[in-house]
Amino acid sequence: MRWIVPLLAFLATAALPLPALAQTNPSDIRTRLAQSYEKSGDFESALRVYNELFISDSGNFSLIESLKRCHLKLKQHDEVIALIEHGLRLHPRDLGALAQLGNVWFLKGDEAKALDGWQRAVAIEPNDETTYRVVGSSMVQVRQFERAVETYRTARTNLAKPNAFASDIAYLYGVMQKFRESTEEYLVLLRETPAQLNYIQSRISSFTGNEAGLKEATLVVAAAVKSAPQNVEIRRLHAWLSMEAKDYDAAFETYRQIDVLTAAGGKELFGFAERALNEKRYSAASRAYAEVIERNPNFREVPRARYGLARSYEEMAAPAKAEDTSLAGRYTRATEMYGRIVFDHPNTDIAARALLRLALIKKEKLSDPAGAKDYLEKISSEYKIFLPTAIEAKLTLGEVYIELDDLDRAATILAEVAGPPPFGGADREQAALRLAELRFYREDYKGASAILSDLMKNAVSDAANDAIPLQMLIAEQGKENAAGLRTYASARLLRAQRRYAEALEVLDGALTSDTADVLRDRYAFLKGEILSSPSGLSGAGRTDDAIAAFSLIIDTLPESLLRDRSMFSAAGLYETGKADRLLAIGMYERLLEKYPNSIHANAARKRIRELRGDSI
Amino acid sequence: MTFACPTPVRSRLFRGEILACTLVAVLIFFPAISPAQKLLIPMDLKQTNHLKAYGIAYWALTRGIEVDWLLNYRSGSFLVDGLDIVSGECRVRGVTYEQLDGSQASAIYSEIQAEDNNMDVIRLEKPPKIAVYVPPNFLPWDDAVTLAMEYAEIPYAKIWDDEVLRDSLTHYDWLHLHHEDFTGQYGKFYASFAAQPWYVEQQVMYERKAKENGFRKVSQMKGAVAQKIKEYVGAGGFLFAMCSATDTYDIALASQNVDICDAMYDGDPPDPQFQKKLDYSNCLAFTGFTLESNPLRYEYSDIDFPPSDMVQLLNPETDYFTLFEFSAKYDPVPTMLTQDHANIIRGFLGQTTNFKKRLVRQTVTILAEKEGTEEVRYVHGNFGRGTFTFYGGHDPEDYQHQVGDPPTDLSLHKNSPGYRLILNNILFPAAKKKQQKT
Repeated sequence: MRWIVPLLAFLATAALPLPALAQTNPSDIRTRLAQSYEKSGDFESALRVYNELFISDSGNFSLIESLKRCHLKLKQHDEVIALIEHGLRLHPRDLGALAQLGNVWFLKGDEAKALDGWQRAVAIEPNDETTYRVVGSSMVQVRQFERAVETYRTARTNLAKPNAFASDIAYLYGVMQKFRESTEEYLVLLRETPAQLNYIQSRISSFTGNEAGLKEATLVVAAAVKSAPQNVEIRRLHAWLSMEAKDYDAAFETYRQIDVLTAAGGKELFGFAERALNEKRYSAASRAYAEVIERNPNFREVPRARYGLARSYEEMAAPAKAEDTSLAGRYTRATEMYGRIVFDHPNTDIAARALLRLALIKKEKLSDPAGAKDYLEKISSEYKIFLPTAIEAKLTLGEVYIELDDLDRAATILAEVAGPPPFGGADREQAALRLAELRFYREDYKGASAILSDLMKNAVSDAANDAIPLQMLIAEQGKENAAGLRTYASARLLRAQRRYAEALEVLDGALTSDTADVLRDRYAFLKGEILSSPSGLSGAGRTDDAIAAFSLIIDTLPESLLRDRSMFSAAGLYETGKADRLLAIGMYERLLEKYPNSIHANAARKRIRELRGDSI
Repeated sequence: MTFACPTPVRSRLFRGEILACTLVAVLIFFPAISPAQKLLIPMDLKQTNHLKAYGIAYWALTRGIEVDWLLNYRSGSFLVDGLDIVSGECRVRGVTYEQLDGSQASAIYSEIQAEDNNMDVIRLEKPPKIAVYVPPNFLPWDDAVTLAMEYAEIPYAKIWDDEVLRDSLTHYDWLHLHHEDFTGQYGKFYASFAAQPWYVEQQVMYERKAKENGFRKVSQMKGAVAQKIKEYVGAGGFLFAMCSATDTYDIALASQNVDICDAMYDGDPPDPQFQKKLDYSNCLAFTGFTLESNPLRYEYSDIDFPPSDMVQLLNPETDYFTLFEFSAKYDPVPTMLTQDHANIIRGFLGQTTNFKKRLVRQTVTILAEKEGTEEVRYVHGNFGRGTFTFYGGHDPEDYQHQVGDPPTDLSLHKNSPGYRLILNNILFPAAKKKQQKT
């Protein structure tokens, strides 16, 4: 074991760091001292030591660099220039030193000499690309962007490489906010290296947030498309810019061409259509889907394209104004397309979704619950494996059966969704709420109350929000005013069944028969709601009647909890139905005066200010 | 109180003239106490929207309706004539008001004037013309003062370097310095945001603007702008600054003749002796500070505490500052600036958050500080015929407002005590000049 000690000693020596050994050299120690001074920001002391070292080692490149650095920090430009000139005497063709000389003259404020220095640098090796890169970079260091661009352009001429430095020039133009020139240079790069499209998009996106930048880039790329119509990557760039500008029609035209040029068989156009649909650009989406389907019957995404087309048609068919209830074939295109999907692609998820859309159009848009029922029943029986669609269909079916006055069937279906899994979550709560309302309509207040109590446990849910007022109504009136509550419940049911005339008859009867009924405000409010509902009565022009119903509460029932809501609703009718700005403002002001803490106060304030034309 | 007609004239008055004189007296004096009523806009916890209440006061002034600011009465309430248009506007803007009859209003005035109550009435007469110094380009942060003015619906103009350098400040009574860096270091965002388009655009635009205005460097132009603003204050202007506009403003004044910017900001290294060459006598609020020499560090000097890169030292749960109470009758200006319904206010960070007390000039009044520390939040001082107020932090309702964060929705903070301090400053120039009692 005696050999172990010398071995350890040898290893320990070998493990010593080299600098420790180097410390034996006095000039190294002085160098380290100078570096320490420099690091601590004491440039004067660092310079003193570096200068001492320089006397004995004036050809040491590293030392010269250190001296230059310290002099620059101390703004001693003349000393730096002298050092560079000294270095140049040793190495006259030192490109970096010449470029640096230009920079130092520039920092010193002598632009003519700076330019001379940079030109001398270029003259060293004018046929080498590196020369221009070094000089250009030096100019960028002192933020001489225009000069750097000039240098790179000179390089193109001298080297006979018209596309050289495109990325650098484009970047510099971008920095200088010269968007047109920048885009032109990026196009140079794109033509040369089409694979750089993503990189170029990311670079251009640095100025497309700027309105002028986006406009100029789009103009330049559009012109490039015209001059090189076969260049797919330029077209992609153009389409991207169009979408950045939210011009989906232009993007559609571009993607049509791309799809043809690349023989994509609809894939390119379909991708665009999906994006347009998500962005609610239905016109562009429908055109794109239609073209995918028409030109590419064998494309595997045709079912999805058809569904997207039908969705676009459906969205475009929606009336511009809520009051516009004219149906006149609005939804024909959409329903025909959904029907073809169901027929052509049976037993698929897409068919289930198409059936649900058909049901919803029948129920919501065309007031045809019987028609909706057929589609929904079909989903429940034949498409139940497509769970999310099937649950939504069940819930809708429950509502449809209420509308069709088959309350038993509605209760059964809603109870199914409101029950244990596979149903759950928000759907379960919505079904439970509908079920509670159903029990309320059927005067089963106890049953309704039990469901509502359960719903209110989840205080953050939407259903709980709707459950509270109904629960309060039952609690307040259930025992003391059973007859009134019955009348009110029957009117609500009739409204849910869209039997508006009958509902109004019930409400009018209640309002005239017993002027002491504590539910008079409820009757009047419900009447006002029905009369002002856009999908309400076929007889238009019931605005006055609706205002009269709300006014009954406003003028004769000062204690009513619905008075502020009535004021808000009446003001809304003055504003939209009667177009009487002053009456509307007056009613909103009355609401603010009487009920400053109403939940409608903020909305009333906003309406007043908009009606007054305030700039808020 | 009686209406005083000049005695020599009174002896020669006919009875009719005496009657006329009395009527004039009634018309002039009695609106304040007549049964024609007053509207009290309370600013204590009864107020539903403190910030909009300032807007109502400003709105009234724009319509020639004088407003009495009741200093320290129910947290700095406002009293105006009981006109229907005022009450209507209060309702529309959601501002709480109380209708008072003449005797109630009179009782309030009496209570305020009582010597043993630390209260006073300041008559606000004309709406101040407000300018905000803000760059024309988009920057990914917002400014608490413009947010407050927009929410309170107080109109303001935007000005920038060109206007300041061309002496347009004389058109305004009140100037707010947006979150600006007057040192020419572009907010010292270089280390984090140098490659971001907004930063690049900002630097290019500032450089172009400097060149257009005949300056070789942005820092030189900003220094000249700072000097012009100082001249504006000296001539009677009101200056309000928040966050980094406070310390960078004074740094710019102190470094008028020395380069403190590193190469990434102005292309060359700073003067190695910059610290020694600072001239603190040029500053408005601070003195003896040390500049941060690291160009990559997000901090300008040791004025700010905690340093911007050490904000983790603060705990939002315990970060509060306290407003000082001043004598309303003897020190109305600091009293106006500190009117609030809370005197302990939740702190909020900024690039400049608090000022180190030992670096605040002795002539400057400290309005709020973090108790038990050396940290000062809110200061006020006079220079020449004008005044300046510096308020640390960026957004009183967003503890740590980051670059790129969405603007604070003040409709969710309509009773913000921190924002109230800003709005006190805006109304302060509307006050009728009063003889100082001391």
